[in-house]
Amino acid sequence: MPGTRAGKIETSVGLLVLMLLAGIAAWVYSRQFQFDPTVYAPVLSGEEGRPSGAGGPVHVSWFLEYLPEGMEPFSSAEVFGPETLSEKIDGKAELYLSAGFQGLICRRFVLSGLPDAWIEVFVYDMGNTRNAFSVFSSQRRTEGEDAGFAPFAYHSKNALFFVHGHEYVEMVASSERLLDPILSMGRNYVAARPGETGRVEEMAFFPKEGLSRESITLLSSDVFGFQDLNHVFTAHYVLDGRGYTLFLSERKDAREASSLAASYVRFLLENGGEERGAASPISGLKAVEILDSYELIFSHGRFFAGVHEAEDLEGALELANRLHETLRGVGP
Amino acid sequence: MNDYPLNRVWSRREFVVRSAKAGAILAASGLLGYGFYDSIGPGPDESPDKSSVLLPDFSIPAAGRKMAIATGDNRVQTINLALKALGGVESFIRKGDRVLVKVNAAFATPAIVSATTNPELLKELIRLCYSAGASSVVVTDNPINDPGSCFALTGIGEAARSGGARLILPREGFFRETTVPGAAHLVRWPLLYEPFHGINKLIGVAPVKDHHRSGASMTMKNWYGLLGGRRNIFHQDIHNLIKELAMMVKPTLVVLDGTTTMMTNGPTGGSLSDLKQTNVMIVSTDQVAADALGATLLGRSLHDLPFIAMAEAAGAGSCDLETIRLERVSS
Repeated sequence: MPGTRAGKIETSVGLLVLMLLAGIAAWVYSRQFQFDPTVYAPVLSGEEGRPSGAGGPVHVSWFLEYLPEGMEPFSSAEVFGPETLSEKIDGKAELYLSAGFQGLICRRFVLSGLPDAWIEVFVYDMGNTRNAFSVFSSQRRTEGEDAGFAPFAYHSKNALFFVHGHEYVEMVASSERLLDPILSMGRNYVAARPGETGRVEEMAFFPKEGLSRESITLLSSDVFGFQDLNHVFTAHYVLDGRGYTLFLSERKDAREASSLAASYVRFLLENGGEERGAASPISGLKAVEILDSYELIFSHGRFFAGVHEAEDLEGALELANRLHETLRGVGP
Repeated sequence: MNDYPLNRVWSRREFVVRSAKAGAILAASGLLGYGFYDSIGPGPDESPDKSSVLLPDFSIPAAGRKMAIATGDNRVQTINLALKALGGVESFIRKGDRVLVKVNAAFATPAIVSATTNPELLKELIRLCYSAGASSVVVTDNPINDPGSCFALTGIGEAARSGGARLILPREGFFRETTVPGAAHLVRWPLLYEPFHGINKLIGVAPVKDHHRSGASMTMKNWYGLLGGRRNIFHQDIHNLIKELAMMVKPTLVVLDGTTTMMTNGPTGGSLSDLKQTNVMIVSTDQVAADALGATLLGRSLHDLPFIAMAEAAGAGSCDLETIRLERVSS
């Protein structure tokens, strides 16, 4: 058929194109077997398109209104979410994640003209005051001094830590001489948002006598090594010169509290504990001796409570009774 | 060009044949594509890969297992005393050596919070390497935070520069895949490899720190900064990972700085009240032994830090301090 056959040039070009396509196909085929974790990192939900960490962009003026005179921005704000928090604080991320972490904004500020004098501000959104108190209390430095401007606020020689509403705030300075600017920044931040001060109800349920108030801590997960035990408040007491740790956790209802108490007793017995008789007016109280210490466990209404690692059974029973009395006053 | 007249009349036979050919080509293309389709996607491949690298052994077998503990609050003095007790820096660094110093520059935090390698200590170590005849000293790390900020704000960058070392910050293209023999996690994992080109001596320098996941961060955990990729996934099995890091790296020396120990709230710390003045500088050819001793500064037992016994079982060293040549000196 005249006019239907391709010429030599067309045939050559066609073959060249086909060879090129075959080459591309072979390259794609071979590349798919070469795993590179830096390239093929798992895409986590909601992570795409975020500039640094998670969350949306932060306004360039973030936190500037709380700066004392003489301080200015040293970096732009960084934002991190649950998937990226470890990129900022590495192994400590688990502490925050298990306590309900939502997001972190941080930024550095510097004293004008002194590049070595800088402060980094971390504002953690923990979702609610209890969660914020949890990370605040579990990292509390014993040598800290009360900062005075918020119910949960203290400072060390170079840093300030406080809870404000649903936020846990840290300010860390490069030098001890920056303590005054740090305290100003903290005061300004809290004063500008007075309605956000939160409360942690359970703190009032601990008996007052012998209590070290600064010792109250909210543990979020794996409490006392027991995987099912979470959201437990602990408090340190001194009775007749001996130290004791009381614990308390408000559960959904009385059934859950009772079930948790039974599970915890089982856990202790499975790990070498032995049940001991204990004369106590508290109905259902169990005493377990484990590793040369006593663990007292009971439930009252929706509360799961007791004494942890007491060296002395008599004193532990006395404090358990006091805690039980306080809980009776709280109601069912 | 051949002409295809627009008004050409196709016979039924020609039309059917051409249609069948076109259909066959489309079907073949579809089948070929389906054959190549990988519904699972890329994943780790256990087969040997020529592009994969292994770090060489930087240890000096003739040096044996030895460790020096120098006490004092002046890092410049204690590092000198400790090295002198081990026979001098010349026992480890020879003329013409090309030394890599792996620092801990993980966080963009000020030096006073001791979350990173102390700049004064680094500068003195660089000076000692050059004084022993090293032809070059390289300082590197792949920090958790932005590398530029970390090296600048910790003071490590300035210490490296002023000491005459070459600072290598990680960037794309500096990583190569590595598979540590016998490892479960470090399989075809990106390793910061570029700084090792031409290097024949390796020194790790780390502070003693509490660590929320592993219990402690010392010399073996310091190698974590040689990894790339999504390394935070390893936090779920951190003790095994640290063991594999110790299997991956055979250093010439490790320096464990326990002058100021971060006792709580690690690995970031932040407050000076997290720190305790423990006044100990440890220099060792055995990283497992160094960490075992460092644990005592944190008040932790080997039971509290399982990675130490795991690294020993993997052959990375020994935590038996009775069998190591141990020198104690004080300033």
